[in-house]
Amino acid sequence: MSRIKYIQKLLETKEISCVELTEKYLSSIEKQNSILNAYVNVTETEALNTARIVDKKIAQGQKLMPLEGIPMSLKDNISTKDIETTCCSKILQGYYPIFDATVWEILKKQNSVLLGKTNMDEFAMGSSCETSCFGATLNPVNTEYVAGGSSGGAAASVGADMAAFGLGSDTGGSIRQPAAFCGLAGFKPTYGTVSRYGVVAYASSLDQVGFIADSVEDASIVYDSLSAYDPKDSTSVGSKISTEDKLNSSIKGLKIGIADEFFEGIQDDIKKSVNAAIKVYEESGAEIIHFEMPKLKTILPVYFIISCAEASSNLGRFDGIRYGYRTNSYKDVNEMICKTRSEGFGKEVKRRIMLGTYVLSSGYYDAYYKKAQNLRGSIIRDFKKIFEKCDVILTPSVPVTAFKKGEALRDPIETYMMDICTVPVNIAGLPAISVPCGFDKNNMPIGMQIIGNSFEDYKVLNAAHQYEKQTRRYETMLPLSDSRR
Amino acid sequence: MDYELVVGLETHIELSTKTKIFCQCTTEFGGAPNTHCCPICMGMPGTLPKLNKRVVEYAVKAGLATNCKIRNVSKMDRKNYVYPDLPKAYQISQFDKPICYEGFIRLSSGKSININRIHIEEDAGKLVHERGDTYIDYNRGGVPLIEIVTEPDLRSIEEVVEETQD
Amino acid sequence: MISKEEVLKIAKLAKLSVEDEEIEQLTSDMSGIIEYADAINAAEDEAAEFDNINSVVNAFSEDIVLESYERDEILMNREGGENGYFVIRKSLRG
Repeated sequence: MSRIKYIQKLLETKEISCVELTEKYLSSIEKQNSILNAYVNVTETEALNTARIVDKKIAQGQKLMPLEGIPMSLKDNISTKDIETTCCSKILQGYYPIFDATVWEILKKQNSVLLGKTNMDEFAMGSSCETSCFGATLNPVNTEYVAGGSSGGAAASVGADMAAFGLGSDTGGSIRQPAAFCGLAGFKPTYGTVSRYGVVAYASSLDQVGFIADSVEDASIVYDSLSAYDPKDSTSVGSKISTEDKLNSSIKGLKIGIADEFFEGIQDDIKKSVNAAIKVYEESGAEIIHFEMPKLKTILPVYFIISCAEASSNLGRFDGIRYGYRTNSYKDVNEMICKTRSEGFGKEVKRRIMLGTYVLSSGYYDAYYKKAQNLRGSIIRDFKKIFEKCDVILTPSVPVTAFKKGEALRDPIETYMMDICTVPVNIAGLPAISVPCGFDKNNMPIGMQIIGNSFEDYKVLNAAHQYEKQTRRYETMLPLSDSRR
Repeated sequence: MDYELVVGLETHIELSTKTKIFCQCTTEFGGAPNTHCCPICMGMPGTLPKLNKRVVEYAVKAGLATNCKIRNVSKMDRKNYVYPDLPKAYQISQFDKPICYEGFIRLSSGKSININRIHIEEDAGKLVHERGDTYIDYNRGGVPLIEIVTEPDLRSIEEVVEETQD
Repeated sequence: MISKEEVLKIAKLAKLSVEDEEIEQLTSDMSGIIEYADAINAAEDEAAEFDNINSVVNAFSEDIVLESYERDEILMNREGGENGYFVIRKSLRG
């Protein structure tokens, strides 16, 4: 049974009140957050206020909405009115949005209990939360390792029982990689099915809000509530298909595509685990279809040309004039802006802004950005052809398992190459999920990725859920119970 | 050596829609500073633009009135630059697929002035300088404009004046 | 290869200041990454044009006025502004 459903059952049968449940989670945060650094802002008052509203409803015998009363976390790039939203950057410290992101609005209407805002790489640029101005987030499975990024805080909050589910964002793998590192389900929906309004933009044509949860079923429940059409987002399509209803569809005859290119340069124990998962599918009656993806290696340079270009444009607005950090000494307006930005942004963000500015500058625009977008068009077509033969594609989520703090930041290109399996999904706007499928020799979690065709999120969640049913024991305990690990 | 006057014009025209180009704040003139603003026209982080249908309609009308071809597929682009009156540090404008192109206006002399393009874009805020300090009012930010670009077909001051009045 | 002069030019465009200690490392990092990005030149783009990630077109709103935000809210993150304006003093000594 899903954690969300289990919590609601306890609430509805009054075995625990929402306030008591919330206090348990807040206590869990108090005990662990100073070590794990998952939360950068704990919203205790807001959480308990919502919990009281839920308890009143239950006392009146009212039925609960799907996410009502569920304690959860939001990545700190999701705008929350009157609650500080920093994107874990010095340049936005002290910034209080005057409006809500649509996804938060929906959760508010459902009385989901907001426990706090979670840590992330600065402006979502990174894969380990080490570029956060608040420091790295550690992995709840083993605190010698990082939780991953950029939605590391979201993953650690769920992994350590400090939230029942967490919202994050995924531009090149930022939901799926931390989910893989922490042994959780991390789902990135089809581009356009979940509103981006209010989510601070990194790369507008790649960003999507995603969810990290204990189980695929929970990710599906959250998705069904949040995949509504939003008129405020011009790229919004929404989705009217209930994925929860389709979780238990039979996967007999499901066509799963495998390409060798996704397995090149992958850690050996990851290959072993993912291959074992493929066997589980075969034994369940799925059909394995081999295909080729010769363009896989070019997708990475395409990705960071596009993402850096869009990021440099999106981050131009941070000039100290209307909100956020402003330098305290300057001799003219131009110097004010330059000093503000140079003092407010971290090294990685500055580097990506520089790269983005370079590829968009005159003389280089055609050679880089335009060419990358054209290649993107051909990659999308390639995927369409693959999905004519396959229902879903199966790959490892990440070439490596969680690394130790400080190990990631040595060579920038090596760091970017870690996104090789996840990035193609964002380039093509496809849905994808990372699901735990084993452990490495240090007992750190391994994740496998299931990718689907646009708007076939239900197929991805169905395939992932069926795998979980076969292989994982569900923990349906309350937070802080000892049986967790 | 004699010089010949050769002029092309780029004219910005404010459209008389009730609301701004990408949000539903009023375009009403006057108003105390920063009272016709919202998170979208202020370019606050996370906001997204939504195009005002009437802006497109008026731009097409302007194109038809000037014998332009109207594009079947048009799009908006970003013109990136940092300046205090530009909240997003880019102006949403049109680059390579302007809504109208290849039109002309006929002057009273019978001469045709060719129009290269008409495109849609947003206006910036207003800067007021006082004693070296800079004051900024974003009421005008996001007000819709069309930009009409002529070919360098004008040859005299009189022609330029007539073109502008048309 | 990108030169130090080009790096400084880009920094100016991006409104970032680069310290002398930073410029060597930044130039080397950027050169490496741009060289990696050059890999796309080898790829054929099969004359594919890409404009739109999910083919949503004509997302329009109606020309109907909605109430703007209160000025206090607009200026909230800048300590209330001055006489309703955002202000940048001509210079400031920290």
